[in-house]
Amino acid sequence: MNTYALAITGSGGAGVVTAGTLLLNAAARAGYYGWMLKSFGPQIRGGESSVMLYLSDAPIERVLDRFDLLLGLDWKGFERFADEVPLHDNAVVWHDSHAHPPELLQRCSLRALPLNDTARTFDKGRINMVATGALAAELGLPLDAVQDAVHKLLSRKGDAVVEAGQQQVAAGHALIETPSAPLRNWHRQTTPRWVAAGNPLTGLGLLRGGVRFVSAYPITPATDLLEWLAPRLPTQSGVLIQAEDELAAINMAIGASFTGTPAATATSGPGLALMTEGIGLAIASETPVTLINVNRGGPSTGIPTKSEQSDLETLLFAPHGDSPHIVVAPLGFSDLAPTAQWAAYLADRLQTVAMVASEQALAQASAIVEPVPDLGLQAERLRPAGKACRYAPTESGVSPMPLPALDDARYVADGLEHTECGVPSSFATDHRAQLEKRQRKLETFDYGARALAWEGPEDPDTVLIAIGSLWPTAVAVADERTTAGHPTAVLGPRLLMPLPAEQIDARLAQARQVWVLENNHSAQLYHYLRGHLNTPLHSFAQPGPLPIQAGEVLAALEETP
Amino acid sequence: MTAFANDYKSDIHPVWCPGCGHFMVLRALTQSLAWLELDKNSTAIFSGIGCSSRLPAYVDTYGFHGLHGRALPLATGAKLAHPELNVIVVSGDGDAYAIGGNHFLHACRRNLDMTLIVMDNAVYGMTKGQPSPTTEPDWKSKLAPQGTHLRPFKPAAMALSAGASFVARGFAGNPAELSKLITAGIQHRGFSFIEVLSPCVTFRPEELNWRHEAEPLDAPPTDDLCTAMHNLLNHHHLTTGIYYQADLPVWTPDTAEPVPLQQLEEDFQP
Ligand SMILES: Cc1ncc(C[n+]2csc(CCOP(=O)(O)OP(=O)(O)O)c2C)c(N)n1
Ligand code: SF4
Repeated sequence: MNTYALAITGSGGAGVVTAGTLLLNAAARAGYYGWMLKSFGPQIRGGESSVMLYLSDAPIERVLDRFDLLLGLDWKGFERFADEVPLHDNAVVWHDSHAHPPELLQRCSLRALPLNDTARTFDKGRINMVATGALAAELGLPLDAVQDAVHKLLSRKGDAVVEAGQQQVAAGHALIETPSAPLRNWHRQTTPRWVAAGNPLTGLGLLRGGVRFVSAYPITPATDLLEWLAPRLPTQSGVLIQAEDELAAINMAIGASFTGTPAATATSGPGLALMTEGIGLAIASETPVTLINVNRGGPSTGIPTKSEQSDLETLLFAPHGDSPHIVVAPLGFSDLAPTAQWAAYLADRLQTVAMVASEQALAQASAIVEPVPDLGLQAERLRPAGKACRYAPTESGVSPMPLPALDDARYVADGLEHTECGVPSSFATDHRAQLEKRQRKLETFDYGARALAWEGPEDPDTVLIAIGSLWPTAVAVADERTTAGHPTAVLGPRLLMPLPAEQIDARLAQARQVWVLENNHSAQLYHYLRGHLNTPLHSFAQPGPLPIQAGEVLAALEETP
Repeated sequence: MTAFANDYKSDIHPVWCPGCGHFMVLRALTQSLAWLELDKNSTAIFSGIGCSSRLPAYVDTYGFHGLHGRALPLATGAKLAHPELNVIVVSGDGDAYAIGGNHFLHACRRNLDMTLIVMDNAVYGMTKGQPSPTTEPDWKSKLAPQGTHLRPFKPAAMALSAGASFVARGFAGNPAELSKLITAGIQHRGFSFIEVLSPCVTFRPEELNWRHEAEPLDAPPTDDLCTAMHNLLNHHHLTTGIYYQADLPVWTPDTAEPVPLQQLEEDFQP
């Protein structure tokens, strides 16, 4: 697998994200794979920003340890990103002839380019378009692939704008006379692929799973999921409503679901905290709801624009009382849509809350991926044939759920403990029967092969356990160790609650050492697994906002005999 | 076939104290449902938590007894997902104006076609006698031994300014009039707010005197906001009737031409 990592940074308005997006799309058209992260300073608008672009000739959904090239359109606020852009010893730093890189980059090999001067030769010329052309040339991306990407991005602004953009890209391309062009030697594939961001893919998963009602309150980094759904849900006869707060958002979803419409909400840490009581209501009243939590840095308002895996314990344990529910985690970026779809299906099948542990690092990343298949799973409700008691005990624990206007089996849904017919009750027998039923329905369900993923040799010496953005990193670490003679595999518990503990222990039985990798400070996944597994575990836990790199994990493993 | 109020009562016995005003609200509401002959299966009553919020269990329609303060969002979700449903929300003064105050304002503003009945007894009944946002400043209780020193909310005036299109006040001691108000509220297209003075005989026995003070509003319903506000603020708080009824836009979610789901995947073509 060949890889190339480049970062582009600049102040607000410089067009860093546009340059990254154009290169990513061009790489997709040319038959490569890629992964792109954006990073912004704290200003709401117009602050400095940077994009990290990782290109490869094989699917890639993770950060690489070092960058090959750094381009500064200017250097305002670069210190803020310096930590996020570790450079190779032989990395090159490009800069505009009029903007000299800061002190900390002086020991790198620098290259000045007349980017601004070239842009100024055009009416309303833009430095980022010239830079895009220059970078494409240096990488060895075909010019026509970039021009097509420009066309796609700008076509709604009219032909003149497209043409001007393309001329500036061509002028930038011509600046690089002897490119190193590493991509030219890579294998190119002509199979179809998508260029997508994580939140929209999650939204697609919800729609595929049958969700037709979404209520939510804006919060970074979940908002763009809602914004993707807003114009699209109505095309599927669905409804999206911006609630007055997260308390309303979760309760609106419960109300919609009560009428039979599969419903979801999306939020991030602070909103999740406000939804907690509502989550308990959905669990107790057995009203299905799918909840997407896009984890940002916590606690409290934390680091809104950066990633972490620190809401895990909240997802698992937030609702008070004994409140079994479902928590699923995507294994990497391409798993966002299938996991959201699976969650929507599970919520309705099991009449409970299904939570998806998404993360900023996945949700706001963009990638070139193979088209993400539809699992064919759709929310479906078990309905009564005639009169029925709403919470009647059944073997599976799932009781038929009558729907207003459709079923002649009226009942009052209740968060108070209730009898099997929904009448409030504080009797021990009713409480035990209902608790047992709400637990049983989750534990006896056959979740199938999706519950656990395994990648690597069947008989490994070392097993890594990882979810979310760390799954692809763990797979890369395992590959490298296996090649180096230490057979290493990765286990991904997509189904975190209810945890298939026996199955996991069985898979881990032969391993000499098992490591739990996670992006938080208190080793939440490690402690959760320790509470349920018999296998001894080691922990590698590191908080955000920096992504965990394969090299760091490899080093930690090597230090431990 | 004429329907009777009793046809709409469930066979569950209320937990309320004998003499509680909420019994009369139940009677008036079931009378309205019977009068309107609403289809039981197509009607749902949503509530929060409180003595008043126990009401859905006593009516033979669909219902949802949710969280303290969150009845309106539940009802909003249900109505948007299923617009043909007859949606009624019952609440208390603590439920609607304290913990659920924000939802009250936003539900008025959205003006969805539903009816909110708030049973106001100026006290938290269920938690045994604490002051609510409509309690008088000098009313003494265990939690506020010297009174709250806070002026009470004027919920009807709040509803008017927040955008409700039907605002009325009734009294549990006059169930015949109350039933007429509720019927008019259900028939009204838009968000109907009915403030019901409903004595708590256990923690505010002095409220039994309301029956001597309550009197009908001497003005017709108006669709003029200024007049309605004037009528509200110029009559004492036990004056019952329809203060405001206007034909205001009901919020509707965005709609769009249907497209096959696969077509949305085109977004992701490079
Ligand atoms: C989140 C939450 N906080 C507090 C309570 C306790 N609680 C239950 S009912 C209630 C007040 C109810 O008062 P009101 O709405 O006026 O209704 P009433 O009982 O007087 O009819 C309170 C504070 C609760 N159930 N949930
Ligand atoms: S405590 Fe008051 S409000 Fe509650 S049931 Fe008794 S009388 Fe009614």
